[in-house]
Amino acid sequence: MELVLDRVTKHYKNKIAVDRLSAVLKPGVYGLLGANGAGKTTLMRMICGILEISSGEIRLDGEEIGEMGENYRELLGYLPQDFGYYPNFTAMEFMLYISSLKGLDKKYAKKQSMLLLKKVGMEQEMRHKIKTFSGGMRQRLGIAQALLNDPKILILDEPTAGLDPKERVRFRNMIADLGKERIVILSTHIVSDIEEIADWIFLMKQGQFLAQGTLEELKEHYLEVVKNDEAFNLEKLYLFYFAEGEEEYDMV
Amino acid sequence: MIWFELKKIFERKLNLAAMAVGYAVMAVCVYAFISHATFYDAKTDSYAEGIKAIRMGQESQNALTDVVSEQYITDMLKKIQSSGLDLESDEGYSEVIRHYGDIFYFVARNYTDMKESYLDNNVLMETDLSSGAHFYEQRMKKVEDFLNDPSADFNAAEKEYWMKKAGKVKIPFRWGDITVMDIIRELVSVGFYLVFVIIICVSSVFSSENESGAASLLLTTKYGKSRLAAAKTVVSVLFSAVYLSVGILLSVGVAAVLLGFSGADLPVQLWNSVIPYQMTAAQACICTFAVILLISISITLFLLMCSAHIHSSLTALAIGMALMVAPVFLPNGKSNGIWYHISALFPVRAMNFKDVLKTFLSYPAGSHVISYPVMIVAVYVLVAVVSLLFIKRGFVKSMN
Repeated sequence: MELVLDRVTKHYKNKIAVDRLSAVLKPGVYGLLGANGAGKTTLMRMICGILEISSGEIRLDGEEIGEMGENYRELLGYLPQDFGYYPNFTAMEFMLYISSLKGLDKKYAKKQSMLLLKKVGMEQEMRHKIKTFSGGMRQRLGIAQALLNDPKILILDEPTAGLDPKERVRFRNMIADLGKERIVILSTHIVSDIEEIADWIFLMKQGQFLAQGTLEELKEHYLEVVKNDEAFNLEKLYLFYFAEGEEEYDMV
Repeated sequence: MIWFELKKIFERKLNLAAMAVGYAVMAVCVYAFISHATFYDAKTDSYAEGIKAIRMGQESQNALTDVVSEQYITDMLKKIQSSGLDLESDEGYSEVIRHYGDIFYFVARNYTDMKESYLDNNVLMETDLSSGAHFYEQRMKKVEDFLNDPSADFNAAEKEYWMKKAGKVKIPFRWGDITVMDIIRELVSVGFYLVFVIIICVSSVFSSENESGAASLLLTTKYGKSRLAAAKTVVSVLFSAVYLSVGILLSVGVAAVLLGFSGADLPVQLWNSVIPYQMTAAQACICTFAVILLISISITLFLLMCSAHIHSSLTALAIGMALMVAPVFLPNGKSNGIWYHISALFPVRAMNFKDVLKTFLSYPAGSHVISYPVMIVAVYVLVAVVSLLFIKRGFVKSMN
């Protein structure tokens, strides 16, 4: 399976949100790191097919994703950054609703929903209404729904936002597992998330990839430039690339 | 999917409150229409009220005659004229009008000019009876005078169309008490208020998904760009149709249980002799229901389209409310002018089917003439179809 971004561009009137991005993605975990407004969400939405591409193409195994339509969306799991849950739905109802939209068989949907809710530690709350959930619980439910159809391409926009440190570690492990046999694209501005689980890192700024590579490759590049700094970490790299700390980021 | 979309409509507190208020209005109307009926009982010199009054009125009117024959009208007018009373006076009312009741006003209206909004009871004192009452001749003359009025501005095709249509109505009219059917028709018409509830409930169907951010998730699912929009549309239309139908049928059902369906087979001309359509009161009630249902569904689809494109529930709601309320405050325009033709198609006027039936309004299309009711159906079907075509497009493109 190969997802190709070919000079993908998105502009709104005079503003360029994503600027001629190209990449070839194979199964693994890909981390998008960048400040707010860098174009991460726009890029993810284009990969999901909910935002029209101004120019360029996204292809899955040689076929343009827009032309694939339902066949492409069938392979997709998506956790948006902020999305509305239906407050009067229970967790189980929400999972079954998304299952119906994903075209899953009723029996399978129920079984899969219970399994995933258990996996994200919400089996006790599956009959509770979403309006009673904390931000972290909602986020866990969001991750569970993204996995309902056993997606081949999993796109997670800020998946660990709102999670407590323990939950964050659990999800890092889960995402790392998922990345073994599917393409997982993960966006965050929490540096440590990417550092722990991403096989390949894209550093984004103003709609462009400033740098990309494995953590090791990025480290090598960093050490070539900053020769005396032996104590490398991704935070330093982040600061190195992002305009003298004027961009917003979290040091977690 | 359908069940979940339905749940979304029913989970909003505002929707539930609006639905309850809508049905409460219907219940109040059933009570008001029945309880406000009065009938003067000459035997006891007192007024009966409510169901008793309606029953007495039925007996009284049914006892007068079975058919509005020329002979009956001539005899009736002779009797009235022989009283020599001023029919606008209290004495005229108590000695003459009260005895005849509804048939008096029915006949008096037949002899009153169509443009006259005020009904002068004394018109019957001045009617020439030397060669009979010529009731039906007068009916056609009244229509002809209206059509030939220069201010009405009808073209030759329209005049011919309306004269032919009015002339085709079966005469003499059967007579009987039509009060119950009038109440039922009014109750069907009150369905107009239920459309406000429908507007409140459906205006957020698509836009709320954008407002909450859920659209970004829904559109990435397999059926998010196809069946979801269809499911939302089906559920909204079903909801509108069922909510409206249940409200109307319940209120009509209660009235029917209390009063029966007497007068169902009487001609609609008993509401106004000039009505140029051949139908019974029951058929008119069914048509009123059908028109209100069609307009509601059309408005539902139009608002779904707005909701899908605008992404703001409040704006969609405002558009729906403006569509219903604003035309009330707009002038009707010059009789038979372009604006008059347009304003007649707004829901508030198109849903008043009794007025639609008695209004000689037509839309000339070359040598063809499209009658007012047909135009209402055509316009609302068109609005529904066009809206339907653009709903999915609006939702699918909503993230761009």
